[in-house]
Amino acid sequence: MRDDLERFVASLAIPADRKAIVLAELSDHATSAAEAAARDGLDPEAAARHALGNLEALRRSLEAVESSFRITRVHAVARGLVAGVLVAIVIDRLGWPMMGALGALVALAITAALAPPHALALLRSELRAPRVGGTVLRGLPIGPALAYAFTVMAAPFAIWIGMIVVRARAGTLVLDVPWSAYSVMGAVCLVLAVEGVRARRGAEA
Amino acid sequence: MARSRDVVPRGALRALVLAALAESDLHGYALARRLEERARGTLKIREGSLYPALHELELEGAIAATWTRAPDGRRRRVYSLTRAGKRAAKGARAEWLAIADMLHELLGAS
Repeated sequence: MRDDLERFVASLAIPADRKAIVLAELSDHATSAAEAAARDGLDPEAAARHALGNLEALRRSLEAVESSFRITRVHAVARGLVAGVLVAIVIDRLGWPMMGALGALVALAITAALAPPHALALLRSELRAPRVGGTVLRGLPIGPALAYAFTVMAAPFAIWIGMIVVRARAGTLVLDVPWSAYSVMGAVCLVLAVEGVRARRGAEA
Repeated sequence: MARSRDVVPRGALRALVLAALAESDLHGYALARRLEERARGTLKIREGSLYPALHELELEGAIAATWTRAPDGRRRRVYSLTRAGKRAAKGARAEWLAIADMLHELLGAS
């Protein structure tokens, strides 16, 4: 049974550190079931197999959830900062080609490339999370996907505001904001709005 | 006699898990048995849905897991509610009791 379980867990498409946790947990579950069966005078081996149920159903469920453990909130913020800095540099420093559609596409590509793995599934999971009460309002706990979204939206503008202040002090008061600067913020807000509505509808259903 | 249900709605399973962990910290097997005993044979918890639900709640920060040892020394993961999970448990309980009341009103008389 232990060998079967090890083979099953080894074949799961989940992060390696999560495989160790899943194996320990399922082994404990099967052993507990076998011990209970032995106390009741039943076949322990059969009870252990029965306790794990349909392994293919378990595989699908675990692979859907476990991939979300690949990244922590700190990693997500770091990725968001890197993406934000790259977007800020690309749009501000690479001249007029980056001020229109091409700049918007490049900014979105950077944002997508540096997003956490399975970011959309992660975001959906976070949006389904139970609300927590703060001092004033109730809201969602911020997980890795939301942390990345907020960081990648805010970082370029924080950099640009800093650059505007530095340039103003140097005497440059002309402010020219290309529309591509809003591409990441617009796209992220759109995804958050759409997925937020879907999560709300799912909760109401 | 009530029929045994082998499929628990996803949201309901999360509420049941939170409610059980609000009473005491439990490992996966004990949690499944606790819920089945409480349901007096009307509920069968599928492991295929229990552990993913536990891991999802852990990911959301509603529950936390710590490693302990079973009497024979094997590693065992015990789950407990976090502060956010305690609030979520109260909310889920109220929500599902309201749903049960509504369904009872709508379906109970027929």
